[in-house]
Amino acid sequence: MAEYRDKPKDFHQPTPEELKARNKRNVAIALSLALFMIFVFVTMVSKGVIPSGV
Amino acid sequence: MASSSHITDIEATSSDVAFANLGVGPSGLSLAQPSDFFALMKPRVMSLVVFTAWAGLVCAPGVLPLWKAIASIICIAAGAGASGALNMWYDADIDAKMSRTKKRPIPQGKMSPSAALGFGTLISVASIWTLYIASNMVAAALLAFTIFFYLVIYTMWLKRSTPQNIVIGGAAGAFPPMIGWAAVSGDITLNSILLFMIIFIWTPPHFWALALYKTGDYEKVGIPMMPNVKGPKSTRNQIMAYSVLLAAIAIAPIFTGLGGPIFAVFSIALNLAFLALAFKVWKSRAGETAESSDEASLYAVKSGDRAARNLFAFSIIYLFAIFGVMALETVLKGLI
Repeated sequence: MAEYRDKPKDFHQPTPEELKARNKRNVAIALSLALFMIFVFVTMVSKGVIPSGV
Repeated sequence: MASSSHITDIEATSSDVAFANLGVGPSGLSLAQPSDFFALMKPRVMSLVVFTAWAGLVCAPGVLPLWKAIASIICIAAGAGASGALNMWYDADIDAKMSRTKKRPIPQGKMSPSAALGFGTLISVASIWTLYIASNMVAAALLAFTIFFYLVIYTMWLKRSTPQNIVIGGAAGAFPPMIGWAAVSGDITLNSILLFMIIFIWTPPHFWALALYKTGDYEKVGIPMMPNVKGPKSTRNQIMAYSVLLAAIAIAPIFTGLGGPIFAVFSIALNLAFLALAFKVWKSRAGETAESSDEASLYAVKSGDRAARNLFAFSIIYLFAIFGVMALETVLKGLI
């Protein structure tokens, strides 16, 4: 069953530099998303859209 | 749209420029670091945007709660950064050939133009939307217009077609204090237009001073900057004319009530210094090439270029000082 329809012809193992860059990007995206959510939440609270007691 | 063929051109010429591999490693994974994405946002331009937007926010009538003020500044900075990323996406072909821009992430092959396009688009949408929820519709609409103006009107249209590119395109850089003002007051007034006009009229002498000693760079990639289209003499004349106009506009806040006595003193002093440096450029041979290799001719051109460098460097200090003093005086007025 483990058959590829379009089996890759030239597969290259990611280099340590590529993996390192990808990990750094992943961490940056995660942090940015978390900060963005906090940012929007605090803004909504400061506008009174979300009651501050919640 | 021109953009798709533009990107094809970039890829077609990629064999002789640094971004031949379009920013990917051997396995197809991108090599771009988070710092490369930050560099896309033109941090030095962003610092000026943050400062002028803050000044607009402080000088505007009314009070914005601290968090909303911080949020508005962050959104304006992010919007400016996004337009910088979109500019680097579109200009990747010429950036690779200019000494001033060849170290940017795309020409260096650290990321693909499409990554910059995606990043710029995402940050644009997020910054406009968050500015709307943090402040109001007028400020968000102005930010959206600024990004559109910088990308479409300046980068895609004017930059490669007319030597007036930075005169009209300079409007994009002049909007931040107006956006900061609108974030507080929710409207556009004579005083906020004055803040806009100071940066708008400041832009031509600022950029043309740079272009005078970087003429070769722009000429190499076919960008019609004033020195390589109309010549250095005409550019120096226009620098002088715009500097006089700038002085008139920069002291206008004294008469509209936006600036008080402290601003008046600093503004007059700063404008006199600006005019003196512009006058030196006007009288010099900045931007010209020595017609002979004799020492006097070479020296005249070199000292002219130095005068242009001095004007360029001072113009940055000038803008920070004008807006800084205006904002500081407003803060002091509020404390007294």
